Amino acid sequence: MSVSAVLFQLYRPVIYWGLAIVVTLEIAAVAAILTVNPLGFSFWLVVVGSAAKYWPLVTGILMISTYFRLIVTNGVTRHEFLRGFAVFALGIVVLFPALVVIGHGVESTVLGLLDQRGDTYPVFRFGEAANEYLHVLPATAAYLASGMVISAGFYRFRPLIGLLLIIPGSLPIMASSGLITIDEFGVLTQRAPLAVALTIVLAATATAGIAAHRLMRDVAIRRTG
Amino acid sequence: MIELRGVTVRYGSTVAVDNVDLELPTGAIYGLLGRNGSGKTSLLSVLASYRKPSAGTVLIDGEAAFENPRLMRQTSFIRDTLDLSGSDRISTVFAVARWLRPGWDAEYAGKLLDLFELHPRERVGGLSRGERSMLGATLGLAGRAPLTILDESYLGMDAVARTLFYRELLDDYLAHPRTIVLSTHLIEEVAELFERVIIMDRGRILLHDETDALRGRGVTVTGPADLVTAFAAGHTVLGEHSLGTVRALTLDGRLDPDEIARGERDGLSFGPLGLQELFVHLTSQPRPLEASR
Amino acid sequence: MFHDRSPIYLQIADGIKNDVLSGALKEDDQVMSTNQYAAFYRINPATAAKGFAQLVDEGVLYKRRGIGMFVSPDAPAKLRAERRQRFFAEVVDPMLEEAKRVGIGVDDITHYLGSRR
Repeated sequence: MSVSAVLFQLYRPVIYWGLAIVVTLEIAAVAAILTVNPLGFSFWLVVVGSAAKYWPLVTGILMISTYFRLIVTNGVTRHEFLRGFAVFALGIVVLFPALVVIGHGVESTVLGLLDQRGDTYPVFRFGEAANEYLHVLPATAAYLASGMVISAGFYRFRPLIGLLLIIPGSLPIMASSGLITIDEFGVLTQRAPLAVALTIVLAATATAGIAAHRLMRDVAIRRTG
Repeated sequence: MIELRGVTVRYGSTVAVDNVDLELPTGAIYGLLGRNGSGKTSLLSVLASYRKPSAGTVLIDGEAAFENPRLMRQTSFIRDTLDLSGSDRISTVFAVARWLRPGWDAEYAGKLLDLFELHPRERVGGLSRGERSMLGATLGLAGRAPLTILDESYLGMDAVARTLFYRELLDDYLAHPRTIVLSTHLIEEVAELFERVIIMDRGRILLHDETDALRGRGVTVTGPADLVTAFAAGHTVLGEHSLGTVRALTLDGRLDPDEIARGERDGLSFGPLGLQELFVHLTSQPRPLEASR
Repeated sequence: MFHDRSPIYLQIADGIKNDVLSGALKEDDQVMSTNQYAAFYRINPATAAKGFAQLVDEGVLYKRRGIGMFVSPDAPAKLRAERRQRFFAEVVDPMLEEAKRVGIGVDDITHYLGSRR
């Protein structure tokens, strides 16, 4: 089985449970709010919008700190692991933002049918979907790459050096949150033309990915305990 | 053939493995012996490509092993610490092995688990030291990797579990011949399984020979001090102790039966040296004192 | 089962020779295969193979390709002759040495042996 398939198999429970929790939380919380007044913001964008950053961040960290060793000690080269992880990561970066946009669309539609959209609620528009997607995706990619490269710094070097490397390691996150974001009111912010902002964030992300590969490609497999 | 060429492992200024050259024909069971800190684990880590040597290379069938996908697939290195997360269940660990290890025998793994009285739903973190070793032994044996390396895989196992482990190791090796390298401190109980032994000392290979050639090598001579001393002339002395006028010397090498007979006529007595004792004598030569600062 | 005083392969060879001499193994009997022997006595098969190879070299066993190893027809007689030759050197001479050390005369020994007949 390919490394990306193994990673997906191992991560499947995390994905299913995560989805189940988020959906349950959405339904319960929105229902609770609606008993008081209509929804003035997108609960989905609050919860899943931030999950689209922090979940990839944690995934990036875990992949290096835990899954790297598990896979490599089962007879896979470092390079093969990193390539498989790249495929898996690409899947996350493409699909997670789509989940944010689709969920927002469903939430908006249901609230519309129930006539429960507040004045400030960000109504979902089909024509805006692609634009919304492109405002989520950079953060997902950046947080994932930063998590991976920061974790790689700690894996390879002493803790002190790992700490120092957090600063350059956070560059993709800083680029994405500085240049291109979306908030719970559906406000899309971009401090540069979309193409430029996207290029900068993705370049920072790619650089982090390459740096992580450099750090991990001949690293010694750490012992536990 | 597995070849180590000029392999050196350095940690900062500490040299753990010092320019080791070693040729290991495949298909045999090797015992790797050495005291704590002699460099066994570092050597094995390089052999398994877990670590890139500071200098030198490992060649397997003539190919460089480091980051070689084909060779990596054929190598299994089980460390005493086990490279698993404590939160994983044994069943998950087995699943990963099944997905990634071409030779994985799930049925055999299940059989070993039963033998060691472990349950697939148990989490790695909840296992005792001995049970962790049993899981390691299971992963190593059921993986059937053409190069299987087991680093002190008996730690914490009781005598019964160790006996089961050695029994399975031999039976599975007979059914599926492959190269197995086993590092151990408990020489006496496994020596009969080793075709060859490698003894490491302070980062170097002290000895690499057929295990059988070490049996009967080394002898203790006891008797009146002057006679013992005279007898020992020309032999390598591994150890000595005296009590009054009686002296006992441990000599290296196989003595000629005639020589022993002559010694006995002179009133000397001879005793065999077990593998464990031979190992202790070979590796406990006084270390040169470091210059005091 | 095996001791550390001499190589195991020699101990294996000696064990099989004793079986041949005692009649436990007869002419043209098949002996265990290397792997069976290794599994039974819990030893490395290469060690067992070396013991068997020694016996083939000495003519105690012969190989039939693809079938296994068998006791040579002339093995019992040959082994007996060998042991007889070694009997005086290995058993009687050391006894006489010990007798001399403790002051037992050859006559005493002959007398003793006569009484045991």
